[in-house]
Amino acid sequence: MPSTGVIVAMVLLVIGIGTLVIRRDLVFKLLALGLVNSSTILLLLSLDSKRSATAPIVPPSVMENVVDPLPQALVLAAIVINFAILALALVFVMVLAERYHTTDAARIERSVEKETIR
Amino acid sequence: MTRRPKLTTILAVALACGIGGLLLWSLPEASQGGAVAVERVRELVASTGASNAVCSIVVGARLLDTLFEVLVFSVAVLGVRLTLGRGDGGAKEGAIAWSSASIAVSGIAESDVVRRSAYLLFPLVSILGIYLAVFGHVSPGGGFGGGVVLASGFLLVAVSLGAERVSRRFRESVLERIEWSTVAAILVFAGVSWAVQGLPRSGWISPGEPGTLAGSGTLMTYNLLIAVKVFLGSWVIVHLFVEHRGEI
Amino acid sequence: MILLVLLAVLPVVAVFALSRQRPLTGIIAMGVLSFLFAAVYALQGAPDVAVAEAAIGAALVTLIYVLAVRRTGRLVVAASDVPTLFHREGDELVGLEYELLAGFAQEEHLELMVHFASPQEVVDAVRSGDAEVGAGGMLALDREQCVATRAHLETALFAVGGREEETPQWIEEELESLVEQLRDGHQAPVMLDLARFLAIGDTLDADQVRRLPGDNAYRFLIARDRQELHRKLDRYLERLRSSGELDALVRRHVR
Repeated sequence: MPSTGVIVAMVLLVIGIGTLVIRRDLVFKLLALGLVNSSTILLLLSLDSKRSATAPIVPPSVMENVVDPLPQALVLAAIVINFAILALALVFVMVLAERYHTTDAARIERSVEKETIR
Repeated sequence: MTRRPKLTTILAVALACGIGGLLLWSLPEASQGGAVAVERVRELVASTGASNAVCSIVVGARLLDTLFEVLVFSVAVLGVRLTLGRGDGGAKEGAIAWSSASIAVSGIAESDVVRRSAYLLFPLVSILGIYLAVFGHVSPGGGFGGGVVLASGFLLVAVSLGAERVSRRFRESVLERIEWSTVAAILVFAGVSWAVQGLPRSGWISPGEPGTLAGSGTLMTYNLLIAVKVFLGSWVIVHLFVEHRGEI
Repeated sequence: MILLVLLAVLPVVAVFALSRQRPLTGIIAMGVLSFLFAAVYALQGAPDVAVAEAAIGAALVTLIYVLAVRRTGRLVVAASDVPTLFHREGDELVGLEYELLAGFAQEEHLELMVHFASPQEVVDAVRSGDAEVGAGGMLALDREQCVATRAHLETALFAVGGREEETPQWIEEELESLVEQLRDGHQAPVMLDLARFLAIGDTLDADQVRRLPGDNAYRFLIARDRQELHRKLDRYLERLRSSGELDALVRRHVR
């Protein structure tokens, strides 16, 4: 039986991916991607099913029940990079919104089609 | 959101549920035991002399990953700077210079409380960021966390006291030069460290008692350099966004 | 345990945040969600990750989203200061056209951003697309330049200053400078609409003024490529007119 964190992370993943497709506003699509990011990190962090007694990984020489430090290391830099890439994606959304005066993905697609047809 | 379920909505929900089911199904193989973790942590702490095992993985055992991640971060910041920094990005020419003052009708109120608390909080936040970076190998924190906290401190100043204040001290070109030279310094330091002792090991700078501040000097150096790099990159992003306020 | 409570709250807040209508509410809710995530990470035994996520998700990400969305959620209005229609009194804005636009912006969940300028600058701004709406006693005199909404208030035209046979030009600079020029004996005649005329009427001599034939009406100017905005504003004005609210507003502002 996986730990609660894993289940919640999967639920959030489903919510995030579903929102990504359903909502038409570009800003909400980006927010959903951010949610997918965070929930993936949660999934990786909650994977030790032994439910070790919540001792983090920095005891000086006393080694008790520690959590596996590897997933955290993998994920630490990813958070910061996600922020930078999110900023880049947001810049593109801004450029699009400025050009087509809307943040609605369907409307932007239609405007682009109209332009390329001409 | 529309009320009647369109085909795309149904497909989206089905896709999401499919992914969820796939994850659940692959779950039992994914979880590792706890005993392996303790072994790994013990070995890591012994080899790098740092008590923060995460830090010793990020900057020690998996240093190459971290280097490339720093590079990816720099490129993303470069992308933002190129698009926003030109002040062009597709804007029209000959913008009208507004002759009179403009009023934002439902704007954010500027309050004295915000300004004073920004003055008080900024040194505290900066000290916290530096502490996280310097002590990153013995207590939770590390280069990434420290750099981001520092950036959020400057963000506080930029939002409450105006970004011009900070821009006056740090000009864009100087920041850019410092940023890229930090990346170069990280690479050079990694190269030197590899030449001296081989990549995963560390501690050739100041091998002290593991768990103390002076123990494992390479880790601390990396942490500091990474903190500087992340701080500068995040600040550039924030500053460009504040400067443009959504107008490209 | 706290961890379980937090984990249970996460999906609720996530669904709430992603189902908002206004992007701004969703962004702030996602910031709160990032904070909750950071708490969960810390409780799961990953303090480094928690610190990074808290600083990034709650502060930096929220801020850049808010800054990016601020413009796309705005209605940029270029207005010329006319006492009954669009007027700045100290820090407040009053006037018939201001109230019309403010109500429209509130319905469309937009933030109203008003720039004051002279009438000619207003036309230029709308024509170049710098502003989306032009207000402040605008008449649709030159149809090629801007698109205009349907009229919301009728007016009359007056020619002020100058001699009888000169054809008056539409007013180009702001009202105060016009009054000064008239006092100094400015020659070229200027065409004014009723509101502006009433505003400066007592500073004029009777022989400087003559009423021009024909009627005209106030409209809002809309930038050429904002068809959707034009339609929405027209619909809004039409609704107000048919429900009688427009008349009530007119009666309140224009005595």
